[in-house]
Amino acid sequence: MGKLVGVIASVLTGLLLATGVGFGLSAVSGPDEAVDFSNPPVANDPNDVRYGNR
Amino acid sequence: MTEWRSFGVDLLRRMTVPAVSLAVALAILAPLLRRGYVLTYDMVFTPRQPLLPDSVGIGSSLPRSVPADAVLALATTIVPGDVLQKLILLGALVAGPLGAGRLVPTSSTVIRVIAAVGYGWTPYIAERLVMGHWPYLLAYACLPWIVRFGLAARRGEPRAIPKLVLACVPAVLTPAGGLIATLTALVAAGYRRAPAVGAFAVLLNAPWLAPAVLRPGSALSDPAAVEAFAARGENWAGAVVSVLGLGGFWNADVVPASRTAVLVPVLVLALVVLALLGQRTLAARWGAAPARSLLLLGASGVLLAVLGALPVGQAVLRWLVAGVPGAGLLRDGQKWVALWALPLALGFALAVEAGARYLRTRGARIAVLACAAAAPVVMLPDLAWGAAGRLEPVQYPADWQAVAEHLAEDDRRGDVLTVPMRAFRSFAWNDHRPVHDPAPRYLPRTTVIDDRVTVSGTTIEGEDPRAAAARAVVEDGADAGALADIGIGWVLAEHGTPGRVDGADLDRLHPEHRGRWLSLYRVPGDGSDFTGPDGLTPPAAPVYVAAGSAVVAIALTLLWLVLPRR
Repeated sequence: MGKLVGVIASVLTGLLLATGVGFGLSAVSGPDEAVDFSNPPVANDPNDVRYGNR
Repeated sequence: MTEWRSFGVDLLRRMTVPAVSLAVALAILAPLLRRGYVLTYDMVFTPRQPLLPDSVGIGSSLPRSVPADAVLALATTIVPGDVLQKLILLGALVAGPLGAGRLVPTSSTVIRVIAAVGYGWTPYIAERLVMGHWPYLLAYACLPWIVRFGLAARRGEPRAIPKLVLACVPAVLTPAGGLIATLTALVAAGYRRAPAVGAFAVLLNAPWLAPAVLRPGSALSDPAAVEAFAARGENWAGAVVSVLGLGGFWNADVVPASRTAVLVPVLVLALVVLALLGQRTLAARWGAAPARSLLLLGASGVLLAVLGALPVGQAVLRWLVAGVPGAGLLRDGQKWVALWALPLALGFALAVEAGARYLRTRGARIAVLACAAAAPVVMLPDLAWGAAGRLEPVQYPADWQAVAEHLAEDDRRGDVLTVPMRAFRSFAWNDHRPVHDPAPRYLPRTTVIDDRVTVSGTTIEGEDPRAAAARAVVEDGADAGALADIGIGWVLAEHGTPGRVDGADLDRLHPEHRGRWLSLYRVPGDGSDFTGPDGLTPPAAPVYVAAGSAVVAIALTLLWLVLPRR
């Protein structure tokens, strides 16, 4: 049982690290594409401010 | 020496969860804590919010922000609006994880920390914070405390009921928050306490219930809102998995970019499996009935949240929203997933505790516990630092105070209409963040704004008949007589925000203030107080009685708690 828990924990930790590192790299390499660090979305319609976007 | 060491260890153990909760909140809010107003989507705070008929629910609009607006109006007579805003946000983001950390039934401080971080660092918080839904954040923060005192009431502990009632108070500032708190309180306290809890719940929710029930005419909503506000998939796994991970908010513009990462759904599913495994430990320590009830409530929250995203559910919701007064509460169903957050955080923490026991080496146990505590942050790093820099405090331009003072000092009658006729603004001084028109919460007179909203090019119709009437007048050339007929004495033109304003219409009015951001015009004539057609607003007396009942109930509950027992 200990080994099984160890394996599951290792796999999940690996996935977690891959997610964190992957997101970090994408944010650093292309911040404008991955996450908008500078500005929030700007209304692109001169006649309206959109409440949201699906 | 041993006593001192024991004291130190005990202090460290007791302070760890509060310190972690504070650290979690500061990691999110630190850049927002300087002076100024965080204005984003539905979150509008102003220096001193006026107490107006709409604040207590006797205006022509639905009481969506009742009694929140009345409470803010009273609170900002004592505390400046920006300070109050930070106190509310910081309080909510500290109280939630602290409550979860204290609630989880364990003797391990590390497991408490895992539960605290798991509850305090979630997509729900990220998305509702950027969307400006601060009353939902307050309700979310109350839930662990409601469960704690609800369980105490179930066990028959003395004074558990008054503590439970007071734990619900911050949550009942809006209808949805009140319902989430009430359901949680009823489930936690059990059916034997249901009459007492139910009675208090009715009293606490009376300030919004009364105007909602007594509002004449229809309280129906546009069925187009069901699809527009339905939960959405944030990544390849779709809406259900997004909601299971406490995300899935309808507005893609506020969803953190990290939620689109490929592996997030896999981690979410692993989290859910672990949380379900942890329910066994929860049931063993709390008793089967409360643990099962809380899990069922969480599952109901998930079901309500995804209902709008499923074809059959969407049809049912459209029918309800269009035909049953008040069913508009069911739109934006993702808010109900707050009910799932506690079973998820507590179950996950307890599953990690159980799993770690099987590991042979101390190093492996420490590594697993550390990874579990850090997992929510690693999965959602862009919640940190004001949602990755998206939020920041700003100052209102001086025009706003000048117009507010002008309207306060002028005795002539009439309410205010704002143009362009749009519910949301995008000002350069607020870095073009979409924000609800601040005028109704800044100006000392009832202010009519267009209550339609646009989502992905689809316009959702509003519910305020007076706003519809004003829109018709403006579209018809803004005739002064027609404006006066609907009680409009002033027109406020807001500059530097999208939307068309016909200059020729404004030329027929008397300019009273001209500024870079705002211009105020007087509608010719003596003006009149708005009475409206019969049955446009709820009767005032029963609404005041309902609000007074809630205040008296809270005061008596406080007395119940502080007076000595015989």
